[in-house]
Amino acid sequence: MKQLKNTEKWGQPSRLAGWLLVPLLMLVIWQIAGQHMNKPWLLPTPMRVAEQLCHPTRIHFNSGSLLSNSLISLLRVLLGFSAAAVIGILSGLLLGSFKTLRSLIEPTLEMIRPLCPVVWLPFAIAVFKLKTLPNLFGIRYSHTIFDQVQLGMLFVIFIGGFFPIFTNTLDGVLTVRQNFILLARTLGASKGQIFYKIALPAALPQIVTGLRQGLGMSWFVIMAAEMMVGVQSGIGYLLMYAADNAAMDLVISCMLIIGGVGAAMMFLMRQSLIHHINWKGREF
Amino acid sequence: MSTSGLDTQYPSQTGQIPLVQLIGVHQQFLSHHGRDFEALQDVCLAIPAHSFVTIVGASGSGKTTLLNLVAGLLQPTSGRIQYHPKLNLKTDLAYVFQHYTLLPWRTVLKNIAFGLELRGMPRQQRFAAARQWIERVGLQGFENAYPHELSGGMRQRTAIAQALAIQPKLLLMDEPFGSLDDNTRTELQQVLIQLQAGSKTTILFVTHNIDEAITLADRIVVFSKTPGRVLAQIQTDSIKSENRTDKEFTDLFIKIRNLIA
Repeated sequence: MKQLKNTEKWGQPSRLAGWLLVPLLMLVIWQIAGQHMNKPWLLPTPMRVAEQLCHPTRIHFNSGSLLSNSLISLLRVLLGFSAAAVIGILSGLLLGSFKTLRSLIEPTLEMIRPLCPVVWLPFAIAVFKLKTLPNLFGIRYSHTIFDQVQLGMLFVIFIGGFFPIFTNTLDGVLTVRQNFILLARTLGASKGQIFYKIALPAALPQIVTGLRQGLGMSWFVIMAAEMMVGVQSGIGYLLMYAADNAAMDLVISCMLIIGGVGAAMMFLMRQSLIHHINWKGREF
Repeated sequence: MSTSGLDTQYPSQTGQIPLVQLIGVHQQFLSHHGRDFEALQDVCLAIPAHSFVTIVGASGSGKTTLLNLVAGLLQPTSGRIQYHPKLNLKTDLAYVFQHYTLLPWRTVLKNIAFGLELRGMPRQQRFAAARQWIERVGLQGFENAYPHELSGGMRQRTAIAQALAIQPKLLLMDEPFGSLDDNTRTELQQVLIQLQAGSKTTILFVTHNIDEAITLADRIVVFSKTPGRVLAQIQTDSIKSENRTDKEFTDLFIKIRNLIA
């Protein structure tokens, strides 16, 4: 079994090529095309982009650096996503356990869900203005990075992350294999034990799927939010600002960082939970 | 329905209350078409304490329904089920299914300790008990394996240990060896017979394999096709013993096969 996994990972030449050769080839084509065009404001060479990426603390247009803006975006997403995870999982578990509650609340949520989270932005900005997280606790200005965390953004990230997490958790709880519940019941489990020892672990793989989708959605939504007028920080803001100033090397740097951070978050999430869920699809 | 000659009534052991008694049990289900479907018809059955009863019948003869009724997972449409006054369904019952009978997110050790965990036994104690069961069913070295890493036979060994670890008075088994190859099946049958001999557990075992029914049972209950009725009850203590002749075995096999056919 282990052997099989290893060959699957690196043994196939197509996999190796997919991870290394194809990206490398694209870099080479990009470099040649960039040199040939010689219009760095349209297509900077990878070398120029790499140069930007190698200086993450350089301040651009008085708008902060790649690093500082990335950290601000990351903080916004982590806060909004955490709220979405906690509330999404809890409400999924609650609605999955109590039928009456589900029939009361699920229709409303189903009506709100099809709304793309980004369309909440103008509404959120109108309601929350530019209030920040410290404002919520009565602090006007905390002189920390938290002053860059606007409530409106948190709200939209929350909406984006909430629905995939909630839907998957609910579905996971509702589709627990009947035999597992019967097994516990015949061994004398109480209702609480069936919830903690059967429903929760059985639903975990789907909860994790929800978390990954939710995190992806949050990261997606924050970029749209940071490109709105009036925003003064964040990697999405820096990207727009750089584009307005024809600094395409910076734009591409931002794009790579956005993609890289998103992928890294997904990877970490998956790795930290894989041991609890890799039984899925292999149960007998 | 008369099965003259074969219908060996179980001798009424004077003063002995059966562990479970089914009296005129009918079970109807609402089928998908909305019409009633009769699964069991007038089933009368007594399961004596400490016995090994096998139920044999074609598929669709309501055998699983019968187990679910005895387990208290279903209420009979009519008729009743009487339990021995000392039998507490909540604590004295274990049930082994053919599939999905282990929790895939738990290791072998934690699966076997599951029933004890539900009873609130402290961690160290229940793991010690589970380790003893791992030895008894011959799974040493696989304590920390997950069910998906085990062969079918090892999975059912784990399931047997999981069920017996709570020292149930009544063990229900629904074709537990149905998906195993013949060798593994024979091996596990012997494991099960030995484990029951050393315990006070009563086993109610459903199978469609006549050979298996004869090998394991003190007593065989033969079920008809839909709706399930008891065709015959056969006392087989003598046939189970080591010095049975092949002829006895074969004769019984043919009789049961003709009954079911």
